[in-house]
Amino acid sequence: MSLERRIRNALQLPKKGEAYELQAGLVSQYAFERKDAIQRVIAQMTLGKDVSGLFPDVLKNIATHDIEQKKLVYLYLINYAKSHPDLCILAVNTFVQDSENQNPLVRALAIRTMGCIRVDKIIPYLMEPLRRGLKDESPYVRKTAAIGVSKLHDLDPQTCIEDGFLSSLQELITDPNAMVIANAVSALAEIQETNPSSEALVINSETISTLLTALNECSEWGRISLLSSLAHYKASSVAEAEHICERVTPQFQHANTSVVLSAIRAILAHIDSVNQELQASLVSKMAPSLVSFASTPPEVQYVAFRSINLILQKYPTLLSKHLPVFFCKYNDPPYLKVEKLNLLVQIVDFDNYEALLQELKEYAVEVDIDFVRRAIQAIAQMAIKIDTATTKCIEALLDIASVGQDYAVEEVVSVMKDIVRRYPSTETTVGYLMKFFPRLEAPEPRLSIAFISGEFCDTNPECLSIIASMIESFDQESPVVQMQILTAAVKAKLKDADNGNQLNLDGLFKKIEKGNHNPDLRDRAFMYSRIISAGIEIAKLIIASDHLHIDTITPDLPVRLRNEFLRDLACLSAVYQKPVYSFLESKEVDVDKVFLQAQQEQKELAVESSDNGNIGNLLDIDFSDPMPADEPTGPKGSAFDDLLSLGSLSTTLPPVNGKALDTLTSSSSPVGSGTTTSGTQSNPFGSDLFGLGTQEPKVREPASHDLVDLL
Amino acid sequence: MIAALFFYNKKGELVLARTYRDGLRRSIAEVFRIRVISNPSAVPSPVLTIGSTSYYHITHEDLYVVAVGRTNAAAATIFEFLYCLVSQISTLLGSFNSASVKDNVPVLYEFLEEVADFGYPQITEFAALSDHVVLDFVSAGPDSYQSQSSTKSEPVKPTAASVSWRTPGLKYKRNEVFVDVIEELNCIFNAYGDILSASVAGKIIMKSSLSGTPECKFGLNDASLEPSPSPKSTSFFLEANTPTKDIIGEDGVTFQNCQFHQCVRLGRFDSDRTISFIPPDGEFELMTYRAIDNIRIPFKVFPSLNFVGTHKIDYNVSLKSYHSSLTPGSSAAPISKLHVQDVVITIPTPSNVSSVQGISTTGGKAKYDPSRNAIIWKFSRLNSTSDYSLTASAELISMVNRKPWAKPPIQADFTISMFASSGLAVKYLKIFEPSNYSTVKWVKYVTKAGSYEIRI
Repeated sequence: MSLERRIRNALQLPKKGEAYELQAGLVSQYAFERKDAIQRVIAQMTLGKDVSGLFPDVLKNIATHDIEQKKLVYLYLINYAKSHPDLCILAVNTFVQDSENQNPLVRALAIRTMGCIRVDKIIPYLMEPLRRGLKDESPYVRKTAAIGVSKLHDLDPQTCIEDGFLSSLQELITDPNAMVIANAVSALAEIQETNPSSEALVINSETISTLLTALNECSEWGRISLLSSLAHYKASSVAEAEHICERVTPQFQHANTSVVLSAIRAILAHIDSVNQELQASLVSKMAPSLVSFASTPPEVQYVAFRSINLILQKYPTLLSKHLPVFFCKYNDPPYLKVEKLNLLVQIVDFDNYEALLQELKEYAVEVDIDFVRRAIQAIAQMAIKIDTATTKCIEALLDIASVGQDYAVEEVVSVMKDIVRRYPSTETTVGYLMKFFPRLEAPEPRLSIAFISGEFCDTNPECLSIIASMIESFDQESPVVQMQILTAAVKAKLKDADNGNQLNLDGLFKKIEKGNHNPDLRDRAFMYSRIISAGIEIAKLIIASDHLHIDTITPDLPVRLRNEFLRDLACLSAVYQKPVYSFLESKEVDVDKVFLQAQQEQKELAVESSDNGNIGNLLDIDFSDPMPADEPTGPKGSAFDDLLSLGSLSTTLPPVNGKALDTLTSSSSPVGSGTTTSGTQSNPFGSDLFGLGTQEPKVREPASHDLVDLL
Repeated sequence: MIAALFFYNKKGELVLARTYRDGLRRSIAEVFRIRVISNPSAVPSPVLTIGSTSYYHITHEDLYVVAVGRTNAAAATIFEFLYCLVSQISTLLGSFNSASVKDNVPVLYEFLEEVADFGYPQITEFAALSDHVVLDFVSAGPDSYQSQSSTKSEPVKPTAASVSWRTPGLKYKRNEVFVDVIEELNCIFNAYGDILSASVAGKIIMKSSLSGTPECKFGLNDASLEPSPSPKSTSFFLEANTPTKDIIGEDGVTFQNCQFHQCVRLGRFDSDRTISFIPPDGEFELMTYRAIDNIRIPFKVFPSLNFVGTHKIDYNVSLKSYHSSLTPGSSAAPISKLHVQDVVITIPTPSNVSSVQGISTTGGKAKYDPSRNAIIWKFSRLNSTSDYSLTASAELISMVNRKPWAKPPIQADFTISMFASSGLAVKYLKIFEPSNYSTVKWVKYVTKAGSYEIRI
């Protein structure tokens, strides 16, 4: 802004209205005033003010030699072209002229901008400059034109393919300039994705060598797109796969984390087809790069750690020497600490568990409640994963419980149920755990206590009195705990532990039958009473039988799904570990809906009403979502199948109990909530009819929602 | 890829927005404001998908820098791109915050126009960008650019050259290269002085003003290249302060990993560990590396906190210079002649401290800083045989709602010049250029504290 102008602005007492002033500036006879006005228009535009009224006046300034001013006018055009499609055509002449300018920067600018003007009318005018651009002598223009084709395809796929732009773009894959190749690959990949039938991105043995050569020459961003295309290529022979791997591995040393991740992604796509020796060397080269991610900015680390999580599922021992790298720092953001804990538990093995246990004990006395809980869970996972570590882990957990705050105690009690289930020999701790019972308030630890009591009531006399006292307070318990109390009471009865007849099982059955409105609970009570009436021995076999063996409470993903995510390493789907369709809806999304939803949620946050949340969940399209992103999952898949069959049964056969019983008894897998009819609370663990115990350690989203979605 | 970039200030106002794809409405920006900025404690991760729109955010000074995507995009790429944007804009404007954004809207638009096209990151190298963006926009008037652009009648620009990061045809009177080896020592100790984890995160910054298109070859004492101590190379170029043998370990350095700037020929490094490259003009980060073996640490801190009831904590902190290698039995010599400078030890205190009394030390200066809730203990210089201690007692106010104290670790900060704690040494830097000019080369080593934490 010139000094003169500034003084004038300062002196002008009452402003005559912003728009008027801007307009006057735009048509001023002085170049600098016009430019200044344009800049201010752009500034207004940024602030979200509608300055589209100035469209004709801004347009007058398009024919200029000042590239900077031209860029600003173009920017304005892009922004408001949609609202003034007719006036846009007035600018076309300048675009076409510019696309023949001798300066490649101007040529590229014209092509780039025309592509961004999303008005159908511009297509006929765009075609000629774009075609010239693809053949331009300057690589800068060619690379811009390559992206231009993708823009054209987005606007009008038919023209793009029929008029030969796609094939011209495909030719650019063999361009001498690496940047052009990279952009062509990006553009083709996008066209391929939106329109799979176009077969836009064809990579064959010949193009592979050009891509591999270009890899070393282009910018970091170009490398990423080349490497991702390599990840989707299927090598035609072992030799080719080996060649690709050899050429890609040097990229592990790149400073850009994303390049390294893309390189790993490309290697993993081909690693299974190369010989053992090379495989081993590739994997060992991967480890140091993964470790280096720990010194990147936190957001990058987050994505990198989610990726490492997937890689470790394929190569569990890859980082066993690097455990301390993933120790949490005091000022790591919370989300990073969570990821680090996950990785630590994945990495830990027989040789290094003591170091980790020491570390986790430190975490467990910090003050961040969520972090403490997760640290305690991590210790439990370690105990279950490494059997030699169990004793030390349990010691540590009990130490934590003996000095910890209530939340720590609750978490320790909650995780202990998984440990005693995995190692029944550790029941010596049961008596100690029962001492904490009066301090427990949350449903989860109470559920845990109920489960443990049911399991060990025959050897631990305290258990019986705990079950009895829980039956006393039955009506105050939350539904998941009620389920477990019922099961525990039945187990105690069956195990003949109840010599003194402390437990009034029939009374409990009656109480549920008469006074309880939870259909899951009622059904379960009915079922138990009928099984018992069928004979104690049979009932024992079904209800008080041995447990399925668990190796972990954070199971890995199914192999097929994991490989799919590895192919998309560092992409959103791999970060969330959810299939793409589960979080991205179709392209046409009602923005307003999302906006309203966000506002709604904000209100809900204030109200904190769980009912509203449940309704929201019902509306969500999340059924058949096998992998919730950030929580350890149980054998959802199988439980889901059960739900399916039971669900259909219940629709066809209303008095389901007798029939379902046959299905249930013949089924060896953990059974989900059987005859749920509507959105009541139920829980996979709680609804574990025969005390088989699923691997679900947590109180989760009610499974009944899935069922409702299904029906 | 990236559908839009939004820059918010801390209040959640949009200070700059650039859309790369259409079909986005302004309410998209609102959603982020409502969900993240107005409720920062509930943000589970730096990437969020709301509806089918994904938001990737980082923060810088008082800004939220947010990329918006509608596809299953590569999250790592987007975050790297955002960090790249932040560093480039900081260089471009001197500082990058909501005030500087407001003053430079047109330049930033121009910049954002060049760094990405249709959401695909394009050129982000500062040197290469300066040919597309009018960097001297603020200082120079439009006329100067006019003349500039007319001289650029044939600017077949960087992307045209075989190396996209270097403008051809540079000329300097004095050809100079500065190599800075900067190491950050990251250590976590427990209260007994045991090392829980220790690593060196190093980087080599190169600042070059070289004419033409020079080809460089860079040599380090890489352990994988030289199993035995190397003979004194004649190609040493150090002007002064040549690190003596007791500073640089006899052995080479075992790199856990090294990452290179994109100009380095990664293929060569992979095959024979040669670092060869054509450098971009000006300053750039040649490589970063990580080492965990034979790390030498300058000192240890032994804290001892004694809680006297609920009203008082007695501090007794001692500091011991610890000048030998971490790994027992390694051949690395002790650090003897080095001076550790600018040592600042931050000893945290609970937030309900009413006063800290009786601070006494056997060396250095210590005082309580209420604004940081810590006792700050400073030394301008520590030598190799230092052994100091500090005692203090903090009086606590009893609080109605007593939350337990988080006990943050003691942090130490220091600088050691002409010392690389990993033992890394630059052995040579050879520059080949057709015109064969002579080059002045400088090298500097600095070790700093990264996160040097002592748990209490």
